Amino acid sequence: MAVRDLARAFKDAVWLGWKIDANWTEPWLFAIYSVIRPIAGMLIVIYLFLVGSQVGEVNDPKYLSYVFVGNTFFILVTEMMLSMGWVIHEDREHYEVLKYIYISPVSIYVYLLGRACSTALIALMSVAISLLFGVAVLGMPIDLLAINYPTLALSIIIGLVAIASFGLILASVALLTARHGGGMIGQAVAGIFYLFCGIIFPVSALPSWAQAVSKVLPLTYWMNMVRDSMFGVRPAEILDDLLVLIGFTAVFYLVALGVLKLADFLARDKGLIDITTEH
Amino acid sequence: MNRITLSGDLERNLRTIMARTYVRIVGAFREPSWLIWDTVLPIINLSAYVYVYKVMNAPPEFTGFVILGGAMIAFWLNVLWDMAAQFYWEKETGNLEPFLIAPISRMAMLMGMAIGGVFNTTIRASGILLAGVFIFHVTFHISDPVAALLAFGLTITSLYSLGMVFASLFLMYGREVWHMSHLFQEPIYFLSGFYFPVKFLPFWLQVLASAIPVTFGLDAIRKILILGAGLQDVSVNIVALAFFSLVLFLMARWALRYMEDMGRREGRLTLRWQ
Amino acid sequence: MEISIESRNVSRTFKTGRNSETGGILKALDDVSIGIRRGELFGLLGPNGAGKTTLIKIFCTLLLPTKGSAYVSGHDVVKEADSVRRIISMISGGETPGYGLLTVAENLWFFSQLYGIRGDIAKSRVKELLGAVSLSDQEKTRMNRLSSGMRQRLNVARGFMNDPEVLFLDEPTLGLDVISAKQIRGYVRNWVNTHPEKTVLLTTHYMAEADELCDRVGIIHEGRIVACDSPSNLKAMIRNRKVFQFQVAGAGDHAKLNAVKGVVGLSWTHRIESDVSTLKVVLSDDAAVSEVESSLKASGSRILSTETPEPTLEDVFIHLVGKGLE
Repeated sequence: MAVRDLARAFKDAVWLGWKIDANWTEPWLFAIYSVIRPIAGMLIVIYLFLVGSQVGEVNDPKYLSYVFVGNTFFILVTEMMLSMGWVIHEDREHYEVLKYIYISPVSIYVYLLGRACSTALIALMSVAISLLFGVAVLGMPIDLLAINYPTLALSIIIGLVAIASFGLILASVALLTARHGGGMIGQAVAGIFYLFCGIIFPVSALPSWAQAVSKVLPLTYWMNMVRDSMFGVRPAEILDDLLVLIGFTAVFYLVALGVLKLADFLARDKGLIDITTEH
Repeated sequence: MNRITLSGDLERNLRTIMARTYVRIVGAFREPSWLIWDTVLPIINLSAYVYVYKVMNAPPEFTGFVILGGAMIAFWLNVLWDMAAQFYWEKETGNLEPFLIAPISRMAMLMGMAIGGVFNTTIRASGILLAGVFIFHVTFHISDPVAALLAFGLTITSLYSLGMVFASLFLMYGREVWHMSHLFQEPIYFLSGFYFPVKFLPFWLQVLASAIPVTFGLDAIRKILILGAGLQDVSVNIVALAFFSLVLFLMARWALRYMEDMGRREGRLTLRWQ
Repeated sequence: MEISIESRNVSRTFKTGRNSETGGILKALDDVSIGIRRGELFGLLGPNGAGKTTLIKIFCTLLLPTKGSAYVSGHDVVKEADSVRRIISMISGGETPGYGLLTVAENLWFFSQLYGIRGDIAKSRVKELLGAVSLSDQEKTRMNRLSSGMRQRLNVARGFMNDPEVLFLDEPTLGLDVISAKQIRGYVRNWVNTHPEKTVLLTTHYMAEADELCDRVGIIHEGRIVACDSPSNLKAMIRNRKVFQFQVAGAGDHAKLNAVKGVVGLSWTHRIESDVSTLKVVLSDDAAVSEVESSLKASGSRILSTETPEPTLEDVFIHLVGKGLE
C-alpha cells in the first residue's frame, strides 16, 4: 500500500475508534464518565496511602506524589490495553465486520494502531482531568510550573508506542481466543505492568526475581521518565532512562509485529477470523 | 412425532437455569484461556496493592483485607459482566430474540448465566485466597462458619439481585449502559472499601457507601475471617444484607418487567448496535 | 372457523433521527387488520421495508403496537404476553442464534429447555429435527464450524423444537440455496398439512414462495394491507388486466413508461451476463401494448421478444402498487 493509503487507513481507523468509544451517549454524560472513572481510580490509591500512613510507620508526602503520578499516567496503559484487547472480539462477534476489514487492502496492523490511537487520545484527556483534579481539588504536592513539559511529552509519545506494542500482542492473542467476561483481558494484562513497573510502589520493594522482570519492561523506564519530568528533573538526568526506554520499546515493537504476524497466520489457518465464541 | 407437553412454570424455569449454566460451563471448558485472564493475572494486579501496604509497613491484617477484597471483586465482576451485561452480549450477537419469546422468567435466564459464571468466579476467588495464604502469608480464622456462610450468602444474594436490576437496563439500552457498567468498577471498589476498610473514609462517604450492599458484606466477611468476629459482632451487617437482598430482589422483578415493557414500546428490545 | 392470529387496526411508529426524511417519525404499520384462521398457512407478501417484520414482532410480543390490538389464539399480545409465548415460535431468516462453542445438538437441546421439554423427549426431538433439516451428520459439530446455510437450517430446526401452536416465519429461506430453500418449504407445508390445528404466518418477498405455500396471501405495502385473499383469487383480480413481458436488449431506466396511457404498473430486471432486461408491464387493455412498444423504440431500446405470461402474485402487486416487489 502507498504511504498515502496507509495514512488514510490509519486516519479512518482513528475516526472509527472515536465514533465507537466516544459517541455512545450525550456529551455531558460522556464528560461525567470521563471524569468519574479516573478520579475513582486515583482516590483508591490515595486512600491506600492515607490508610497505610495511618496504620503503618511510613508517612512520606513524596510517596503520595509518587503514587499519584504513577496511577494517573497508568490510565494510558489501562485504557489502551482494555481497548486493544476488546476491539477484536467486538468487531468479530458484535459488529461482524472483522472479516471485511481483513479482506480489504487495509492492513489489520494499521487498523489496530488507528484504533489504539483514538483510545490514547481519549485516555490523555482522562490523564489531564485527573492531574488537574488532583492538584486543584485534592491538593497534591505537584508544582505545575516546575514540570518539564518537553521531556514529559517525549516520554508520553515513546511510552504510547511501548504500550501500543503490548496492545498489539494482546490483540493478537484475542484473535485466537474466545470472549470471556466483560472483555477484561486488557485490564488483566495491564495488571502485570501495575505490579512490575513501579507504578504505585518502588520496584525495590519486589523480590529480586521480580525486579529482574521490571528491568526488562520498557514501562518501568517510561514511568521513571514521567515522574522525573513531573518533578522537574533536568533532561540530562533522564537520558539513561530515555535510551533504555527507546531500546526496549523498539525490541518489544518488533516482537509485537512478529506475534501479530503469527496470530494472523494461525487465525486464518484455523478459520477464526469470523468465529463466534459466545457462551 | 411425540406430542410435546409443556411442564409447569417452575420446572421450565429450573430447566432454563440449568441449560444456561451448562452453556457457560461447557464454553469455559472448551476455551480455557479465561484461566489466564480471570485467574492468574488478577492475582498479579492485586499484588500491587499488597505491596503498597508492605512499603508503608501496614499491619499484616491489611494484606488480608486486600486479598479478601480481591476475592469479592471476582464476584462483583461476575455480577457486572457475566450476568448484568449478558443481555447486551446476547443482543449484540443476535441471540436475544429467541429468549424473549420463550415462556421463561428473565430472572431464570440471568440466574443461569450467573451460576455458570460462578464456576469461573469461584476458581478466581479461590486462586486469590490461596495466593494470599501461600504467597503473602495471610492467616484466615474461620471462628464462626455459620456467620461466615450467612454473610457470604446474603452478600451474594443481594449482589446478584442488584445485577438483575442492571441487566434490565440492557433490555432498553445498549452501549450506553455497557460503558456505564465500567463506572461500577473503580467507584464501587473505592466506596465499598475493597482495598481498605470503609471506616477510613469521611463520614459522608461512609453514608454513601452504606447504600451499596457489598460494603456491608465485605466488612462482615473481613471481621469474621481476619479479625475473628462472631455472628453477634456482625449482626448489623447481616440485618442490612438481608434487607438489601429482599428489596433488591423485588426491585429486580419489577425492573425487568418495566424495562422490557419500555423496550417493547420503544422498539429497542432487540435493537442491536445502539 | 376459529381465528388464531388477529390484528385490529394495528399501527406502529418509530422515532427516527431529527434530520431524517420522515422528520423524526417513521410509520412502519398503518391501521393493519388481519385475521388468520387456525390451520391456515398465511403469507404476508411485500417488499423490503413494507412492515412485515414489524408486524411479526408485534405478534411475537417483542414490540408493542402504537395503536390497535393484536391477539394470538385469543391472547392479547400486550397484556397476556406470557400466555402467547407458551404457544408460539419464530424463525427469522438470515439470522442464526446460538452459541458458537456448543455443538449443533447442544444448541437445540438448550432451546428445548427454554420450553421445559423433558430430557428424553428433548433428545428424540433433537434427532428428529436434525433429520428433517438434513443436519444429522453435523450433530456433534460445533456451531461456529457450520456453513451459513447449515446455521440457517439449524435455526429452522430450533423454531420447531417446542412444537408451537402458532409459528411465525420471517423470510425463512432468505439466503438459502435453492435445494435447501425447497426442502424448508416442503417441510413447512407438510407440517401444516399433517397438523391441521397449527397456524403459520409466513412473511416473504419471494412471490413464488407465497404462491407455492400459502392458503391465503396478504399483500403489504408501506405499512398497509392492500389486498388479502387466496393466490388464485388475487390473480383473478387482474384477469381484466393484461400482463406483457418484454425482453429488451441492454440496461435502461424504463420508469418513464409509467407515463404511457394504459400502463397500470411495471417492473424490470437486468441480467448482466446476457445484457438483457426483462420488462413486465401490466396494462389496462391490449391496445396499450403498441404504445409501450413505440415508446421503447423511441428511447432506442431494442425489443427482443414479447410474451403474455400467466399472471403471478408480482403482477398483482404491480397492479396494486404500481411497481415490482424487488
